[in-house]
Amino acid sequence: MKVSLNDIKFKYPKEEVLFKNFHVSIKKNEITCLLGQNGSGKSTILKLILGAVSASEGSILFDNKKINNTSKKSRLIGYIPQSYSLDGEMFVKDIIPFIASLHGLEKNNIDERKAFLEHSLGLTPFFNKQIKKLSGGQKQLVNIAIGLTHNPEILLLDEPFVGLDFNVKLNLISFLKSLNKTIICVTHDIDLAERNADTIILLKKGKILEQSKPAALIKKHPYITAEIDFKEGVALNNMIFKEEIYVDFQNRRATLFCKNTSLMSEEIERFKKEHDEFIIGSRVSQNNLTSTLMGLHNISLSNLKREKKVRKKKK
Amino acid sequence: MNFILPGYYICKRTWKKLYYRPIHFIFSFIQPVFWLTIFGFLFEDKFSFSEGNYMDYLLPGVCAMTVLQTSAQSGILFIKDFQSQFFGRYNFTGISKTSLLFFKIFADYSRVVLQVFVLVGIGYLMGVETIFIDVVGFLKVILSTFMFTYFYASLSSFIAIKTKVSELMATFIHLFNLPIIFTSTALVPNKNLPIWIEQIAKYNPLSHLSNIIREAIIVSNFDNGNTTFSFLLLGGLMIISFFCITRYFKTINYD
Repeated sequence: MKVSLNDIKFKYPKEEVLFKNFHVSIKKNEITCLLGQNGSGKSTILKLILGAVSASEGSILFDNKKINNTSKKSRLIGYIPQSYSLDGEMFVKDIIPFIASLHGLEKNNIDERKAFLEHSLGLTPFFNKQIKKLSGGQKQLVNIAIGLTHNPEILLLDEPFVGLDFNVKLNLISFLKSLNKTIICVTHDIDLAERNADTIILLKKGKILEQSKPAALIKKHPYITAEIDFKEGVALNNMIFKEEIYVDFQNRRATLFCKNTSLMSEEIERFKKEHDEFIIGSRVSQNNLTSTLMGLHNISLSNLKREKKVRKKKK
Repeated sequence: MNFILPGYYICKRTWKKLYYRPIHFIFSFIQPVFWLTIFGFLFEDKFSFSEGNYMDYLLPGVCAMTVLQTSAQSGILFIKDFQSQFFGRYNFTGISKTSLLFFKIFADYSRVVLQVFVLVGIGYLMGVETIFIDVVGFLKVILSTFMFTYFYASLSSFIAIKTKVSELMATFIHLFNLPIIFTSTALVPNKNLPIWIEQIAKYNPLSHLSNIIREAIIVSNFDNGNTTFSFLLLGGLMIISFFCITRYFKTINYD
């Protein structure tokens, strides 16, 4: 099911306007990852689609149709919140049918879904346990199972893989992909987004910076990053790099961003020769989504700093 | 949407909590037994009746007080659901808030009915020999406790949803329950109350519940007033209370 947000205006009470004339279209049966810093509006998009918050202007369409009926909408959407939001006193085997019944499923469907989710998500080892006795990762699996109880067409995931170990995470991702549903996922796990998303939406302060396939995004902004770790007592601000290279200093680490691979290698070599006695180590990263996003983010910061310096000089 | 199945699961959730933490259920009988023992002992010679004795009079009153206490605690589960953020789940399902509230209170009501009849049994074992329950009497108890539970549990749920704080819930229980009990005819017959309390007792819903239960389960002829009026009063309170809380419940939205 295609989801589109058209001309949305939204603000939280006592805060600045977050979305103004905001448009986004999310394709059917694709995995769309929403990336961006805290406060960029990622989770608010999920809440708008879900109906947990309302836009003051604009419309949200599902397959080009507006759905106002809460009951109908809840049948379409499965929401997996960031917090577990579980009743610790309930048993895993009880909570799934409980939520399924609230969604209006019939008894035989409830039993069917319960068995399906138990086996698909690997809940069997703790299916008869009370939720308060589960580990964080197990609770997160139950949280995901609850979002899937009514077999929704759209899945809204808010940081769904936090607390899961590597194997469980991989299995879960392949399971979610096999469902062939429209999945909208808010995450800070860039690596996961790069490997699994069909589309990446990069947000900044309520605006879409980029919306494209991960590979296309990397191709458009082909940043490579390098990190240099310095010994203690070195004045990092005195380190000078070529103008094409953007640098972010934090503690005793300099992170370099550049679109030109050979220039970056040359600069690192030059720098190592000149300041060898101050350097503990260095590494250059691949051209990937992480370096692209870090580049985009830090260059906008660096540009701001440069603009401020220029303004000061002019004054 | 089928309302019976979600209703069953909502009730099952409450029942299971009770099953796995039976201590609450067991303790809910200790206080009434204390009331029966202590008040029965203290006042057995203080009040005179044309028929029966004070224990016969007291047992239905203690049953009514138990209905009051259990109904007052009905909102606690909502507070727990707020604290665990489980409450937000209800917003993302198709269940109507009216159904949710109705079945949540129904689960508490089923507990109330069980408590009342277990207490009647305890009363019998403690020497109340004038107990007689026919079909009409049974239905009267079922109906009156239904009305009272929905009236008072709705209030309790309102406090819980409005405050979301268990300490305020406890304050509500302590602040309202004791004055309601002592300004009713649950423990003391109407004629023995001071005049100003007698006036309050006339309109106190607990008096009316006590009178209905007394008339329904005790053979002795006490002054139970007009029980038709009692049913009408409890019914009216139930409708107003449940209607108002449902209206309020629909306006709140938590993600």
